[in-house]
Order: sequence, then structure tokens, then C-alpha cells
Amino acid sequence: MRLAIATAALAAFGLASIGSAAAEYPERPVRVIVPSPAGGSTDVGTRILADAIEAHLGQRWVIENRPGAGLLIGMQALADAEPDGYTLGYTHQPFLTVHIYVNEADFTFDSFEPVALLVDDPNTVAVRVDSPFESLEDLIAAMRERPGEITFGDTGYLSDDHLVTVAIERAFGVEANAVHYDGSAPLRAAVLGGHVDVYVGNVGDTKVTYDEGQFRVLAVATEERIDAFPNTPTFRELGVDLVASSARGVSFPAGTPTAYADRMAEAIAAASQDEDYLRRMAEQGLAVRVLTREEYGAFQAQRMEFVRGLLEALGEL
Amino acid sequence: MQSARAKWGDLVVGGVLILVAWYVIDTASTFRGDGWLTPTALAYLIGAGGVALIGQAILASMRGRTATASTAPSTTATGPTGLDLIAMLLPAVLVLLTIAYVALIPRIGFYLASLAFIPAVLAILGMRRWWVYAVTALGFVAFVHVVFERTFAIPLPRAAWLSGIL
Amino acid sequence: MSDLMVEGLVQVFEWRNLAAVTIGTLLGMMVGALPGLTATMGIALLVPLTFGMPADSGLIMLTAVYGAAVFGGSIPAILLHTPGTPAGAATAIDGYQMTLKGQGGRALGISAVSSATGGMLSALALLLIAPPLATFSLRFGPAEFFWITVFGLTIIASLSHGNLLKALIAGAVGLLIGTIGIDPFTGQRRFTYGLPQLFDGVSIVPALIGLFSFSQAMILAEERWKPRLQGFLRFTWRECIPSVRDYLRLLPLILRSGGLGTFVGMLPGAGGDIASWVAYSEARRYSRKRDQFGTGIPEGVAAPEAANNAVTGGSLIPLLTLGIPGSAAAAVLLGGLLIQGLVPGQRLFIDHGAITYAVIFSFFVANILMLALGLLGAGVFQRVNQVPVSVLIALIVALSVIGSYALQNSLFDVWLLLLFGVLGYAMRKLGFMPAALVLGMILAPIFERGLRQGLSISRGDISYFWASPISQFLIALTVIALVAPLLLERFAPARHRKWRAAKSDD
Repeated sequence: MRLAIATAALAAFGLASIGSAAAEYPERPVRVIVPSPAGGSTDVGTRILADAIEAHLGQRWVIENRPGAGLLIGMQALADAEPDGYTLGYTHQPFLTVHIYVNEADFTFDSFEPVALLVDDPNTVAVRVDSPFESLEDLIAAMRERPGEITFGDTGYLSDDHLVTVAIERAFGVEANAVHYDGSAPLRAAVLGGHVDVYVGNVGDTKVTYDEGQFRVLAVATEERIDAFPNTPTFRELGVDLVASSARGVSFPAGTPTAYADRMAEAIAAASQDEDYLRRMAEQGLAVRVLTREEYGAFQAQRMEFVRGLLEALGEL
Repeated sequence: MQSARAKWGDLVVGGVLILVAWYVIDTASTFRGDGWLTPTALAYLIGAGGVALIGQAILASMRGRTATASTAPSTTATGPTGLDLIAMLLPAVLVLLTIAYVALIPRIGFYLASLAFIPAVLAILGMRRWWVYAVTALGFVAFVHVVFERTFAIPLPRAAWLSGIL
Repeated sequence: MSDLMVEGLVQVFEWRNLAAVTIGTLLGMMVGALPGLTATMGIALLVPLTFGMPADSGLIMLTAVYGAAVFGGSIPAILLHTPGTPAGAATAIDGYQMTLKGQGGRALGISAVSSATGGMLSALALLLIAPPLATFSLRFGPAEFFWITVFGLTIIASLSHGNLLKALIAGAVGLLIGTIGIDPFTGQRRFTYGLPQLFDGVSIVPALIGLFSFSQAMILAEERWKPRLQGFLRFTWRECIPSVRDYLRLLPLILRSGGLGTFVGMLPGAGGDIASWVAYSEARRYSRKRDQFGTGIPEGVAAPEAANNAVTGGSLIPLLTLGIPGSAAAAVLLGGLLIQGLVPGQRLFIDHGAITYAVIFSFFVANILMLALGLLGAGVFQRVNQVPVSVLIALIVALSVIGSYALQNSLFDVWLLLLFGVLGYAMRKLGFMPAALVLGMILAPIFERGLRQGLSISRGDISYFWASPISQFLIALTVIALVAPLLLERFAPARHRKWRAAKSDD
């Protein structure tokens, strides 16, 4: 195996010319930078896709976990990588925007060549099933009555969940008491234990507890109602234009030949039709949503604006 | 003699702790939000600890006896206790070699760097049998390849100019 | 015993599941014994391997990896003072002392039986009383977590070995290091110097490997001409199997520590590292041999090992009943469950009852296997004393480097390892306990989060922190922990006191 790679690499040095390269791309395994630890939901999802994509790409994906600093380290590693089409990596919204504007990252929006959106996990607002808040209206009314008292748990300062809390405050003109937790597990335990009033999270994590009959989901931040919670209204239905999610897509570093990006996007789109792939992703609670390269680029730009507004409201800009 | 050195050690550590505490308190004063307990109060505690350490050392020397309580406990977990500077020579060389090792990894890849590092350590520690060098270095590289790269699929650093072979 | 339970029990003994449990146990022990590869990491990297396996075999293998990795961490901790996982650090203190006294085999044997007993105790809790326990664990909010960490800090006193001041300083410095990184409530970057690698704080694993393993390599390097390790020269295979008398004498302690570990395992955010320290400290606090802790006594190995293996079953309790993982490793196991189409929750025991019970029963099999392999392996592991010291040093350092790197594919973590290695060496030379520093680093983030969350929820009203009965109980426990040693000393039998006085003279 190693010998085969060595031979291929030598052949690439000696023979391949730039012109014919695009047709043969990829000639060796592609490194995929996952900016979160091995075993997390992004990592597992990537490994499921890696399983499915080999048949469509003709090469393996080699996963490299570069966790830390709220995805910043992994996205920085991607921005710094050689733009030769052999390093792909995650670009995550809203974290990409947060790092560009708040954490003085060395990359910008233009440091990446968008390839495809893979998973779009919408934000949800839920309460414990015996909570007095029967609907979002109840919750907002209570917040008007007791400003700053209702506690909203999220998975970290400036996480996508926290930004939803900020968006709700802004949209309804109310004040919440944001309490930050270290991930979804401790947060769900805190809500179920009655230590925090409201859970702000994503569909994937919420569904487990909802199916168990422990959560009442008050609203989802999607354009239309979703299958996971058919009886739950969207924020749009409630008169507020709030669409937010943890949006995980992949990009190349800027400067990668567009032909390579097209080829990779094509392989991802093909793999995303695999029934086996879709079934496994659904079991993980990961909502697959594939966008084309152009759509993904536009999507990112639109989310950047949205998040920027929220950061401004928080006084972070 | 040894405990006298240890006492000087305590004085230096106490001084360092006070400096650290001062630096932390000074820096934390620019933090937004409430940093009064962590880290500021902690830093005061550490500063107080530094003062107490110095006080203990001075008191012990004034009492004219070796500060037994403040030297390392006689447990052998710490190896030969006290500050024996000659004994620290080889550990220092080991640290320097490791620094070179880590610096080499991104340049020549993990495998080549290990093949250089392990024999170097054996050499400074006086290993005489040549086959031990070969078995240790090659055995380590083979083990790491099988366990880390094959079983667990963790990609290890490789040198770019070796076209990713090693 | 319900039909589903019987079905699950039968399923465990299918050959493919027995094969899965054996492979899992072997892989787990190896993962645990290597520095850097933690139980969490081992499971995470093996989850993709289970994609193509039948659901029961895959999950049985992953849970076996979990338990065996936690046990495996104790082997190098005992023989070389280089714990393979953070959960094995507490074992290094008395375990290595036993090795130096020529009792390394005995320590390995006690570690194996304590780990297996603790693991099985937690599996029993998982099997019989998981739902009420899980519901109880939900009552732990920010205030309760805050008091747990305060209670945890009292452990520092039990690590002092005669110099309380230095132990307290080391603990405080550990807490300070633990506050490096982005403030979880304000986003303020504290002492990060523009390095994104420090935003989440100083990584515990490289720091721990540095403080324990790298510093140990440095200490071993001091005596160049010593060809073999001193101490455990006479060390036979027979010694590794603890006598029935030894076991029965330690059993109450093992069960107590196991119960403690089961409970700590259930709390999200607190895992094997904390459980083993708490158990070590509690064992010492209420032991008549208080002063012998740290000098190499079996109790100092039995308590942390029983506790950290009990965490494995404990952390599955909220995972299987509520879908909330009780530890980082359990969170990774959740991915393994979901990939097999098993959604955790009460209905798991009904919809997928046979598989679920098979996994729980396989816990017992895995622990028995781990015990057998641990005792048999002890005979092999002891051969480490045949290896020249120079080879050991080279391998400890090289494995520490690769282990620190592999955890996050980060060279930065390797530099951290070196920094903490030198710090650990200096601390040991100057009489500071690295263990106290590690404890501070582990507790600081939980302490800080509990405090900030509590103050945020109560909007600054500090009475929130003693409002609940659990908080009051934890406060009482902390006060007792601080006062009890003084009282015990006061009312100790005269003979004991005299022996103590003679002992504390050194």
C-alpha cells in the first residue's frame, strides 16, 4: 500500500503536467481537516461520508482532527494549507464569522474556496415538558413581565445557540438571562434538572430528549416546519424572521483550482444520494443538506451578515 | 549542604511566585467582567504563599537548623532529593535532545526524527551494545506505525519534501 | 429477570460477541497503557471500525475498550510512575512506591482486582437501579458542582506529605493555570498571548504526561551508570495474585470507592480523573494508616483503581436512561450507539432490550477478562525491570511526544509537554507535589463554571449556593474533611500517636 502511494507520488512528480492534472484529480488521498475532536458528531458524520465518498471520488478521505478554540484551530489550519486540492476542511457558520470578527483570526471569508454544505442542524428552543411555558408566546410574555430573569441555557458564549438567544432578545425586544454550558450534555442535564428554564440547542441533540418525552419544543429556526417536530411552529410563523443553524460545510483553501473544487463538489453531491449514507446520517440526528458551490457561497455570505448584526447587538464589534 | 541549597531554592521560588502574582493581578485588572475571584483572588493567594515560603526559609535559617520541613520529603519518588547540580546534567541534556527532536519533526517527519532521537538518548546514557540501538529505534517506529497509523488511523507528521512517503 | 434480560445474557455468549469483548479488552489495555491515548480517544478512533459490525458486537467491543483502557492506565503508573491516562495519575503515587519497595507485582494484582470489582459494582448499579440514580444525578446544578470542586480541593491536604504550604501553593498554581483561556462567560481572553491553542485552556493530557512521565524520565536519567531499575528485582509471577486475605481486607474500601466512582461517573463533566483523586483522598482520610499513604500501601492503589473503573458503568447510567453521557468517553460511545440505530432513553430497554442488556452483561464479562489478562499480564509487564534504564528513558520520552501529538494532532501540545516536564522535574526537586498542581488544573474549569453559572442564574444572590439540601450536605462534607484529621489526631490512641510522632520526624 505504502509502496503504491510512493509510486503514485513519484509518477506525479515525473509525468503529470498541469493541463492533464484536472482530469485525473484526485491522484492521491485527500486530507480532510475536522476542527473538532474525534468521536464528536461532526467527526462521526465526516467518517460516514468518507465511507461513502470513496466510490464516487476514486480516492480515500484521510481524516485529521484538529480540535480547539471553538473550531478556530482547524479552520486556521485549512486556511494555511497548500491550495493543491489535497486539503479539504470544514468552514462552519456561525463560528467562522465569530472568529473573523471577534477572535482576531488570521483568515477572512476570502481565505476559502467554498465546496459544499453538508449538514445544516437548525436551532431549536425547548423547555422541560412540565414547564409553565406552553408556547413561545407564553415564554415571551413571561420575559416581558420579568425582564432578565428567565434563564436561557446555551452551549457556550458566542455559540450558535447563544446567538439565537441574542436574536430572540432583539426580535421580540425582551431580555433573557443567558447561562453558558460546556456542551449539549451538561446543558440538557441542567434543563431536565430544573436548573435552567429554557434550552437553546440544535435539532440533533434536542430530538433524543424530545423522543423520550422530556422536552417540549417551542420553536424551530427554519424556513418551514421540519419532520422531526411536525407540531412545532417556526419562528417565521410566529412573525419573526429568524432562521439559524449550526451549518457545517467544507471548503478548500483559497487558490485551489476551481476545477478541483467542482470535482469534489460533484463527488459529495453523488455520495449524498447514497441511501446507506443518508440512513446513517439520519440515525446520528444529522440533517443532510447539500448546496451547490454557488449556493453555499451565497449562503455563507448571507449568514455572515446575520451573525455580524447579532455580534453588533452584543457589543462585540 | 544540600538543605542549604534547598533553602535557597525556596527563597527563589517564593520570589518567583510573588512576581507571578503581581503580573497576574496587574494583567487581570484590564479584563472586562468579573475576574475578582479567578484569577485575581487566586493570584493574591499565590503571592501570600510566596511570602510564607520565604518567611519559612528565613525563620528556619535563623533557628540555625536545616529546614527539614521545607526540603523535599524523603520519599524516593523524587529520586535523589535536593539540588545536586551534577546529577542534573544528564536530565538537562535529555531536555535539549527532546527540544531538537520536536523541532525536527515538522522538518524531516516523525519517523526519521525518531530514528535520530532514540539512538542519541541511548548514546548519552552510555548504552554500549549496538544491537540495542537498532532494536529500540526500529521497534519503536514499527510499533508506532502499526498502532497509530494503521489501527487508529492517526496521520503522523511527514516531511513535505519527502513527498509524504516518510 | 425479564425475558429481554435472559435474551441479552444469552447473546453475550455468542462467539462473535466473546471475540468482540476479547479484542476490545486487549485493545483497551494497550490504549490505556500508552501515554496520550486515553480511553475517550481509543473509543473515538474505534467507532468507525464498528460501522460494519452487528450492533451488539460493535457496542460490546467499545464498552470493553472503555473499561480496559481505564485499567490499562494503571500499569505504567505502577511500574514506571508514568500514568497512561489522567484517571491513572492517583494510582501512580502509592503504586510506584510499592514498586520501589519490591512489591510491583502485588500492586499490579491489587490494581487488577480493584478495577474489576469497581467496574462490576458499577455495572450492577447500571443493571438494577439506573433510572432512579439518573434522576437523582439531575439534581446536581451549578451550586452542587461548585461545592464538589471545593470538596475536591480539600484533597490537596492529603497530598501534602508533610509540607502543607507547598501543597497548597502547587494547588493554587494549578487552579491559576486552569483559568488560562477564554472566560466562559465574558469571552475575555486570559493569558492566551494570541495563541488560539490556549483559547480552550491548557490541555490537561500533555500537562499530565509532562508532570508525571517526562519528569520521571529526567529523574531516571540522573544516574547514568545504573543499568537496571532498583527495587523490584525479586518479583515473581506468584506475587501478582493477591491473597484472599488481602482482598477481603481491602474489599470494604474497594466497594466504598466503587460506589463513589459510580456516582461521580454519572455527573456530566466529572470523570475518572476526579473520581480517582476523590477516592484516594477519602481512603486516606478515614484510614488508620493515614500516615502511610504515599509510602506505597495497597490501599493507595485499590481506592483510585476501584473508583476510576466504576466511573465506566456510572457514566453509562445517564447515557442509557436519559441520553446524557456522564463522561467524555460516554459521549463518544453515544455516537457508537446512534450509528447502530439505538437511540438512548427509557425506551431503549424495551425497543432494543436484548442488545442493551447484552451490552450491560458484557460489562461483567469484560471485567472478568480484564482481571484475568491483568493478572496474567503482570508476569509479562514485570519484565520491564529487565529492560535497560537508558532504553526505558528513550521510549518514555518518545512515546510521550507521540502521545501528546496524537491527541489533537498538535505540535503545540508537544511543546506543552516539554514545558510541563521541566516544571514537574523542578517541582519534585524542590519538594512540591505535581499531583496537587494537576488536581488544581482539573478542578479549575468546573469550579469556575459552577460559580459563574450559579451567580448568573441567581442574579448575584449568593444564598443560592446553600439553598439545596445537596449543597448543604456537600458543605458539611467539606467541613468534616477539613476538621476530621485534626479531631482524629486529637483522640487517636496514644500508641498510634507515638508512632506518628516518630514517623513525622523525618
